[in-house]
Amino acid sequence: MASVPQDHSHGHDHSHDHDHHPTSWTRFFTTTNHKDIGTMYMWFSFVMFISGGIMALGIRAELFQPGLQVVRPELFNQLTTLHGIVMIFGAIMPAFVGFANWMLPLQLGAPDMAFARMNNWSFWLLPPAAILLIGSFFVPGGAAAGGWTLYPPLSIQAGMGMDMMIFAVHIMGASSIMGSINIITTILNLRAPGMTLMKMPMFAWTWLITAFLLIATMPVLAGAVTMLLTDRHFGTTFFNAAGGGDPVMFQHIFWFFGHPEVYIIALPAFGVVSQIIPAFSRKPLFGYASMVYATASIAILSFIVWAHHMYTTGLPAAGQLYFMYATMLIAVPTAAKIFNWLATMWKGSITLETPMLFCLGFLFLFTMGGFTGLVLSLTPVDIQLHDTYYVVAHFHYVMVAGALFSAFAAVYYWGPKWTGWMYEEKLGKIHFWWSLIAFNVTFFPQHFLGLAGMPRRIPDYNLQFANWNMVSSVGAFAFGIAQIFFIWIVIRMIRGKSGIRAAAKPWDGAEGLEWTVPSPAPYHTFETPPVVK
Amino acid sequence: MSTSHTNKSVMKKMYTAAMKSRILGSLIALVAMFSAAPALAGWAIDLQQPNSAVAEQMYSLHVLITIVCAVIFVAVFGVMFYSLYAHRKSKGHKAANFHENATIEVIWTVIPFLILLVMAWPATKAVLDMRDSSAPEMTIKVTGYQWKWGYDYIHDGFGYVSTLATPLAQIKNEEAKGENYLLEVDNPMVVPVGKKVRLLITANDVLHAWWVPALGVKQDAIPGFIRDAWFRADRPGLYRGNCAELCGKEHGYMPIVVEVKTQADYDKWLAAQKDKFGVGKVAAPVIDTKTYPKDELVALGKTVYETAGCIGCHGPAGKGVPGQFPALDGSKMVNGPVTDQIALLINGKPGTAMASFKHLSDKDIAAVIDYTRNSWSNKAAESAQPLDIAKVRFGGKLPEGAAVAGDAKKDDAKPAAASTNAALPAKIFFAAGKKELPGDAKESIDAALAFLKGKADAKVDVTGFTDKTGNRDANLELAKERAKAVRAALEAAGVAKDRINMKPPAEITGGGDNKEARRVEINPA
Repeated sequence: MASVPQDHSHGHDHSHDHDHHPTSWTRFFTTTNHKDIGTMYMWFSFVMFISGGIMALGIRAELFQPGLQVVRPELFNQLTTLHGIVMIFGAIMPAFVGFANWMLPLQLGAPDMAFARMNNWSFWLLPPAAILLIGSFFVPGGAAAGGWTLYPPLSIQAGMGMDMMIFAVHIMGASSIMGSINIITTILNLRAPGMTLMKMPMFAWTWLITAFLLIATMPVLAGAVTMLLTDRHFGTTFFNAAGGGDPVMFQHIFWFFGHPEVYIIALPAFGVVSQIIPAFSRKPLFGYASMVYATASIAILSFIVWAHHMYTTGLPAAGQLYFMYATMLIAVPTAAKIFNWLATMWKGSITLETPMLFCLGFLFLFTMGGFTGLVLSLTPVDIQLHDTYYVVAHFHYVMVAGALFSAFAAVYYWGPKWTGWMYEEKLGKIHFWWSLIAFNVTFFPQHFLGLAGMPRRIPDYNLQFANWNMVSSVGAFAFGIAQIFFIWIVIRMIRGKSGIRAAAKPWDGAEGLEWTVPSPAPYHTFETPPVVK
Repeated sequence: MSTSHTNKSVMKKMYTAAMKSRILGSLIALVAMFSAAPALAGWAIDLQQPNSAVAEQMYSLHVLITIVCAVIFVAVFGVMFYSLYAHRKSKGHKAANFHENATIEVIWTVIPFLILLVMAWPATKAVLDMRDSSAPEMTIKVTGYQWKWGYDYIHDGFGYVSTLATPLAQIKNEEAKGENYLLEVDNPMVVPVGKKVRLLITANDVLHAWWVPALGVKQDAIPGFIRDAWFRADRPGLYRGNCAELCGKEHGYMPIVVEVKTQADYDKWLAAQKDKFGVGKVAAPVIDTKTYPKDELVALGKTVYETAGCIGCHGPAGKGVPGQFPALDGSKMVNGPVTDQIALLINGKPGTAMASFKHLSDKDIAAVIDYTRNSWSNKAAESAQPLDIAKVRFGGKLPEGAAVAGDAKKDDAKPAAASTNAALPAKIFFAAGKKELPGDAKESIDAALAFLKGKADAKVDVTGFTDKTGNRDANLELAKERAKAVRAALEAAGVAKDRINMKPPAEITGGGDNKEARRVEINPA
């Protein structure tokens, strides 16, 4: 992905040399080019994905057998906490911001993002945040260990690792807000002439809505963690009953951010899938308008369901009922999207290249995660399953299958555009089947563990849980190795090991302006806006 | 051949049954089969067997929604796989070009909505039942601590603390793990069967959650607030659960055990507890004024340090966890004035994980203080004796009329001194899991001999007990074996067989901490 397009003739003669990008070592520090920044986002995301993955394997190694073998309980809690934060804020979100940076200007016919310098700054905020997060393992008291949800009073008890986490969240939040402002402005102002909103690619639509979600919720999270910080160090008692505060208030504020966050991760994934399924079905997306409305409905609903994460805090019965009904309602627009994708495939002319396979994997697994979400939406059932491995299984089906699989699909789908080379189809397919099987071996048994009564976030467990934990750990290691295989495939693609140069439009069914520029996409594109009919 | 014949007829029966019940029925049967088969316990895939009406509703609601989801899943992906099979380019399928159909879009919006309406009905009913904690028949206050549970029987005037009973050696893989590994406690919550028990749940330090799956209760314990929950157990037995809200380092090590007893057994237990905690008695507290040798206290203190919870935060080497839990090794508090340290242990330090340890006996507190003051690199000038603790406990001076005992009976003193055991009742304490007579049993035997000597028609009762860990049946057997060992010793000392009654206890466990519980009592008949 970092490959530098050498061929800078793309059919235009320029009086000035736009296609020469800086070559010194400062190129990536000072760049304002959306493609460079997109590439950096993706590499950053991958590094964080591997870091978070190593933490996950630490967790699974400890849980391979009952008893304490690999890590101490305090380190175990640090691993679960940082695994969550690193994967969400470090791996998944930057990956999709990376796709947005690379693809939105290409899809909209814009020369670059609207605020090119701010774009640089939104990326370069991330590495310091990552250093704070990873570095917190090495300070006295270790990293934050109160779970990624940072619930007080436990998070108030913790050592300075928690402060580093709070500052990292502040920084990543600022980065996300700037990125979102950039994306909204780009989409609203820099579309090519003739591209009305309702002609935009779905990926642009989902990102537009996601960016609004980010702007609405990130300040809420920043406020919550700032209150934690002042409770910790400046004697305030926002979350301490002894001073008139309430620990549960933190949960309300956190989940007001936290639930939309789920869709911040899921919606861009929906966008990717909505691009790829039509391309490999050779048929336009079914119900484009209703897809847009469904996405917006999901986004709005996501603000009014937060307390379904809090059924066991002792909400009043009326509160539990309201949040149960509202949560169940989300199934309606979500189901509509699934049906739309199926209808897109129906009577198409389907081929099963790797991007399509990952999208089908996404459909299958995300639907499963959606169904377990429906199970969890029922308050009485959630009382049994809350904070058990069932919930762990549920959100990994949504996050890994939902976000990660569609991210893989995006890399295989747009990778040829980025690198100028095709990936090796056979290796891509192996990566898909390997990931799909390993993922299910890892996470499907966790439903059983949760049902049988195993709480989450415990380093040790009763013998009755031993069998499924062992299965799950084996799957986790297989899944981890598959992702090393993935990066090997990507590096081979960058180096052109397939020997197949990518055409401007390598997928015969693909639609969109991104396929009108050569592969690899030149450093500067659409300096003269294309006209969309 | 007969086997194959049976198989055939079984298969035929199954076939007819399946035909009758169709898909839904067989799915229910499948779920039921998995949940009912104990042989599959290690591969359990279903919710635990419910033991209350609310848990029952949760269970059936889960079965229902899972089946609904499974059916829709199969239908939807049936369509997808058909499309993948039939509409492939490699089969020469040409793409159609439709991309809208208002009718079908309305249908697939309305149908899920209707399914949800149908699901919402039983769920609503269950929520209303679950939250109706009115008219309870008894109330227990539950307090979460890092990392143990406190149970207060607030209308009966006593309370106690419940901690993990699994030995550290099992956790560290030095011993084989028991059946109830990490799901066993020293003092379970005890409730009567069939009574509506209301729980008032709170926490002392951070969030915890009190969860017993079979009873259908999971409620967060929130410091500074009280939440309520309720259950009515259908059947007696032991029901196990865990803390379900991350509460720090030992979150995985604070299980919950509820022992549901028949009303009669519960009444007996209640009376014994009231007696043990002196409920309704006006007797002044017994104060231990004896001065113990330092070595004895330090040795006892090590045990207290490891079992009362100190080791959890402060660590085996007294190093604490930097930034979170203070080190005791080299600590100013531990090496400074002893009264400060006593006050800290009695009162705790509000706003931190340092809870009050006033539930421990004076001797235990003195012992653990002396242990910390003389361990690792600590060489404190001052030390503590039980009397010092009592003084702080009672605010500087002892209550008037406090009975003063040389060795209070709460302490786990061994029956070493002949003075305490010269007369019956006598107690012989056994090592954990052992039925062999301990070396110091002779005094008790002698006491029994002395009791029987003068009176020709006098008899003794021999009753065996065990501690609470381990399997109930095994414990019963062990208690019996211990009593037999004492009988054998009495016979060997010349007591006629007919003067010894083997009397099974009402309750084979209990009667103090584990050490005190592993005993045989010799009582006058």
